[in-house]
Amino acid sequence: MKRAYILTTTAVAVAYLTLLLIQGMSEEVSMLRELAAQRKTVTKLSSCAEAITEDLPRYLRSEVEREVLRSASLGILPNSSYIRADEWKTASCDFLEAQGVLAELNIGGIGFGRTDRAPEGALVCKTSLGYKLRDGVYETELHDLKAISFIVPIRIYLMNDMVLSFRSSIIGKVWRAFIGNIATEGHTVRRMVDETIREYQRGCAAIGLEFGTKVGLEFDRGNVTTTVCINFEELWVTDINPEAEILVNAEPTRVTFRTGSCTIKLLFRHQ
Amino acid sequence: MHTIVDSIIANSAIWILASLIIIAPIQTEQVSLALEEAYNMSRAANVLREAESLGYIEELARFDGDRASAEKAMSKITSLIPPNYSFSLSWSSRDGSVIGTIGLGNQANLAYVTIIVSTRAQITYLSLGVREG
Repeated sequence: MKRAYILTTTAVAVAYLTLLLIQGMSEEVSMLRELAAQRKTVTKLSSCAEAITEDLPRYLRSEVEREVLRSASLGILPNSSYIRADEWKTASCDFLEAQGVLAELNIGGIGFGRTDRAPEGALVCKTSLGYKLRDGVYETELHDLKAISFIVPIRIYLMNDMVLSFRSSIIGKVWRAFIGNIATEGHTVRRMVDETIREYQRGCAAIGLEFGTKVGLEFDRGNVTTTVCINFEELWVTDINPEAEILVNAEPTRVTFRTGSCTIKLLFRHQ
Repeated sequence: MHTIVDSIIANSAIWILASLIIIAPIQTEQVSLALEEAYNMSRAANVLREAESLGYIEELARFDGDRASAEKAMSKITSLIPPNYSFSLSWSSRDGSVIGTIGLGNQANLAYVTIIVSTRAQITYLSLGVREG
């Protein structure tokens, strides 16, 4: 009787201990599995966050390059309001959703500025990316607001400066010549204009720009007034720096800032 | 001479050991698989991060439409994977059509990390799967 009692009690105790042991092991194992799954979630969220943060400038850069190319062909400065990131936002949300990540993306206003260091006169684009990423299964969340800034090394502002400065330089020289001497000869003005063109070509070549222009001059000398028409028929500047080359339909292309023809009429009254 | 207490102790020890021997490997196997997958995933993420910092992703984005150059850029990315790893690197467009692929192809036993890569022409996805061994 006593032996049976001891055997039964011991069997129950051993079974209980074994059960506890297995349960303990299972708990630890599921905890480890949970930790592994959470690590996967963290890796996934952080790699998704990095991917969108790295890719937005890449997407915007090609959009900005297109805008620079468009504006340069019209001889105007690029306009940031033409830059749209809606397609990228949709594609990014699809990409994140496919990985089981719920996303809220917020792209801030896009602004253009001028670089103040090399390449000087190029374009700097600034915006921000706010994101809130949540894992659909584990409810892990990652949110941040990143400032995005990148340089498009096409010196569009410098090219615009050159065009404006050339025009005002020619107008100023012609103005001063006729103010100094109303009887200034046409060939003297022509020579002065040609010298200025050569000066600009040399100056531009020294900084990796190609400068080209065609300036027409017309004089109308009356008894009371002399009229000088300066016709800027062609005026273009190309950035020939290797880093300013962009791909258009897989073809390397250089950006040329080209203004349309314009005529300036100067009227001098004889004294 | 064995007493009843000796045989009870021996019996209990065998029970407990048997339970451990049967259950422990199953549990350990499951945990090690989960940990291995997490580790491989972080390894793939690190490779893509390094490729981004070295400019290989940028290079790949520039070569959209030029298959031969794109494959060279993809090879540069896979050169960052440790030699004892099996891998699959797949570059596809948004509609799912494959632009280029290197390695084992799409395999379920690899741990995958996907990133978004915008090229001049389109928005694409680059997926890297790795596994040790």
